[in-house]
Amino acid sequence: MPEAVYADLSRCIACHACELACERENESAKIFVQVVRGLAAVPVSCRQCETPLCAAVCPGEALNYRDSRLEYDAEKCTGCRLCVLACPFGTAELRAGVVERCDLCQGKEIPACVATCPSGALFCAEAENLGEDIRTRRAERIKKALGNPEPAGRRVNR
Amino acid sequence: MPEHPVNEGSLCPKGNTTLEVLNHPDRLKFPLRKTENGWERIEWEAALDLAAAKMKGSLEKSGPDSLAFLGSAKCSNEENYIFQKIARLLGTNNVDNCARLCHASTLTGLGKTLGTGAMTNPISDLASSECIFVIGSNFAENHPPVSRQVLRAKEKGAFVIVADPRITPTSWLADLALRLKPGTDIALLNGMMHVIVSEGLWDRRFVRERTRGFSELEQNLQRYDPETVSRITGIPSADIIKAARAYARAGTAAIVYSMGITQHSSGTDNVTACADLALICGHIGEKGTGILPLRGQNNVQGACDMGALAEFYPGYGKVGDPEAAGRLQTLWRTDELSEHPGKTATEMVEAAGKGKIKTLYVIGEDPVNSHPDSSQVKKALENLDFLIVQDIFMTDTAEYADLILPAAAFAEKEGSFTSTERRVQWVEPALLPPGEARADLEILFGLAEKLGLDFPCRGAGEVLEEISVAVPAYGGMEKERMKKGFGLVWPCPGPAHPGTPILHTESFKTPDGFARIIPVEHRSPAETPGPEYPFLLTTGRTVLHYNAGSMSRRSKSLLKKEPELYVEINPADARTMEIRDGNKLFLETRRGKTEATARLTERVGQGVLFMPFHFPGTNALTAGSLDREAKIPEFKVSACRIRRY
Amino acid sequence: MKESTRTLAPEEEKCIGCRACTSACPEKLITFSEEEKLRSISFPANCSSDCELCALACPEKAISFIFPDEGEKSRVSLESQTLNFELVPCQKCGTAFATRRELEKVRTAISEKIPLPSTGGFWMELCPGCRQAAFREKQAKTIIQARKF
Repeated sequence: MPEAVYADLSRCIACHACELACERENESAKIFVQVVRGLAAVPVSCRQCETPLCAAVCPGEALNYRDSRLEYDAEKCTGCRLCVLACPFGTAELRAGVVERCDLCQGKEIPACVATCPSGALFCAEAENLGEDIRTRRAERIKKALGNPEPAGRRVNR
Repeated sequence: MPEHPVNEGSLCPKGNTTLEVLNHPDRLKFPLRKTENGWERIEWEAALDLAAAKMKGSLEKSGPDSLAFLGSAKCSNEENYIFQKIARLLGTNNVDNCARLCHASTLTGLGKTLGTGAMTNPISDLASSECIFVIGSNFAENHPPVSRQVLRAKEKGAFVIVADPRITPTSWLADLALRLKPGTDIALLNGMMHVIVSEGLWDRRFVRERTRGFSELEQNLQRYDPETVSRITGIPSADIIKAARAYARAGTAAIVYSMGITQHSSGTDNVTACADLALICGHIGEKGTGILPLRGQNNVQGACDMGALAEFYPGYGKVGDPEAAGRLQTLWRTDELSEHPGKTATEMVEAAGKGKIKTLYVIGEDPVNSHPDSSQVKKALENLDFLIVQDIFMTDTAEYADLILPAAAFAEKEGSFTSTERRVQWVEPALLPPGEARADLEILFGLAEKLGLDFPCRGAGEVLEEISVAVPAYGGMEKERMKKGFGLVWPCPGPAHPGTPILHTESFKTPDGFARIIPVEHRSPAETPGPEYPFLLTTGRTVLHYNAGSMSRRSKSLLKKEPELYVEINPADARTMEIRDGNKLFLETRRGKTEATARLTERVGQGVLFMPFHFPGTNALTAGSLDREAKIPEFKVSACRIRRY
Repeated sequence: MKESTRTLAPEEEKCIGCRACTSACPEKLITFSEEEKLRSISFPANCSSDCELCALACPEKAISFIFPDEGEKSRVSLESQTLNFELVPCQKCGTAFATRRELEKVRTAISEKIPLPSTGGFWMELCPGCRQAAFREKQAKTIIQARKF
């Protein structure tokens, strides 16, 4: 299963460091952070879909899903933009005749955004492994938010 | 550097765009002299001769106190040390740095309660706190890596309280958000302490064994019951009680504060109240506890440690204290150190305006944009006989200079820098300075020579050796030692001492070792909204820019994301005034007028406006009302009105 | 050397208005403009290049060339040709973001891989920007509820 960059929204602080690191390492940013309702920040980047719709629609075979990875051959790209229209998440862009999307900083040990995120919100994972950790944390967060939080800890008698 | 204990390899947006700034074509490359026909490029020798001649001229004609030195919190310890040494050897204590604008209240407030005005625990300790009380700090935007540690604490179940008039990304991390009216922090803190004392949650043993002054505080707190405090602050009394209990009951609890506490005419008292809270609960001197004033420049802590301050010598001996002066006189082999404290940064501007300061030497600072009441600053600079500005860019202040000296940036020179958690680290140059720009240390030595101060030009490592004698807390600081690992945390009094991450573990730095609990009273800010100026303007920072903006506004990427000055206005207020998002507004205060783009957001409460000071114009509005002891301006509260012209 | 000129013959029924040809042409002879809800692609009457880049770029194989000696046989007009396409507005923000045929082509290709609802209220009716925003809203729903101040 392909790995993608995921964001733990309880940690994202809307600092945009990921966008800037991506832009610096990859010529243009492929991760986009926006604040929703003034209450949460959400970074969005290519979801590395297992059934990539962008590749399905590509008439020139520039986008190809092979070996659990989406490959892009700029030579074959005709700039028709159909992939941009096919992406349900709106994360593909066509710039200067080349399709731009997150490719996890191919060739680097760790994507630039994940390495730079100050609050540790971004991480790489395969979708099927996400479950446990995030679900548990999310459940706890909801429980805490809906309940009456007890002040943490008790005084230690010193 | 994923192994670095503080940021673990992460970088905030400014860190990520550093190269865009350092490599910018606007970098100052040559010494420049102002003539009627504009800037004239001159040689370094001529520039240093001119600077020295003007300074000597002022000295001879009007005495040493006609000179003033405004240092840089971005320059190294060695540079700051030599800078203040030059000033004091010339006979004046008119030397200060921009800490005056941000944490001067910390120096005075924590100085009188704990004995020393520095962060008591390292940032990483926050991960071990069971309760984190954040007041007047938006660390998620201004110190992003701190979020890392706070989030770790939360994962372990920590309870986070955030007190701020605005809802910020820091508030997002809170379990309890206290949205108080600007300028009511003492009421909140006293209110919490009232609950803690009346419910018997205070640490009797700690108070008895390590502090003095509790009974006066107890008396004082009687008037700060939750209902009264709720009326003053606007926070529901149930929340005040909840916050108090959470902080007091936690096994380990830390207080994190920043400009929201310090930048008030009651700044010293605000800080004192924070210290009182920590002291009565005994949350000091252990891992996971403490008081954490987050400082905002790479070396503002160091600049203060090095004595680039009007009232403190290197190592915080007080100016005027014969013993402190004596030690320095011996070390510097002079017998002529002035005994009276000099003018602070904020007072320097006033004095220049009145003609008492004739020659001002500014390094790495942009008072036109960072001081309150910009129009006064501009008039003051124009009134000077001679202004020397040493910087990396032509800032708005540099435009007023008579002589400009191009300096190397932090990554282009070597030296030691002290971070907010007292960690002193050695920096080696990674880049070459552009054109003929020189390291500030080199420039200072050159100037000292021209001034006849008998300074042999030395490398930063040798200056550090002198510093380790002058400043006891830096006693064990030595270049090669610091290069191993990640620096040393002061106090580090000797070459074998490992450094001291946590302060006040056994005793406080007061003369008798006991902390002082000092009661303080809530009082109104110097200027509050009224019929003519009905809004409360508060200023601060945003994540994408840095301080007065001369660096970050030169990053193409940062500027694209945050291109212009804006003002946050509550949608209900906007509706009343028929203001829509994106409208151009004029903000007016008794000091001046500035244009900004309206940004409608619920982040600010009704009646409150927020503007970032990263763009010129914000400080044209703010007032120079100073805290009596710290001389820090009240940036956080001004009375303002909106015009639509 | 005699220049060989040929005429471009874009087939109106096949063209989906994707304008890939406009970026493919090395001489920028094929141009497009977008105004309000209309996209216009203009093909020159003649072209003196000897490449076939525009034809190769076209996803629908809608461009062919007619050489001078074939002139009388075909229905070609010897004038420049402009094809106009109505642009579909985004259901959320109203920006015109694609031609109907482009969206149909995308829909067809996608339905072969995953089932798509036939009409109404789903992401294909939104422009890429609004799709991103909708995804964000969905992701943030839980945490926003938890963060009510």
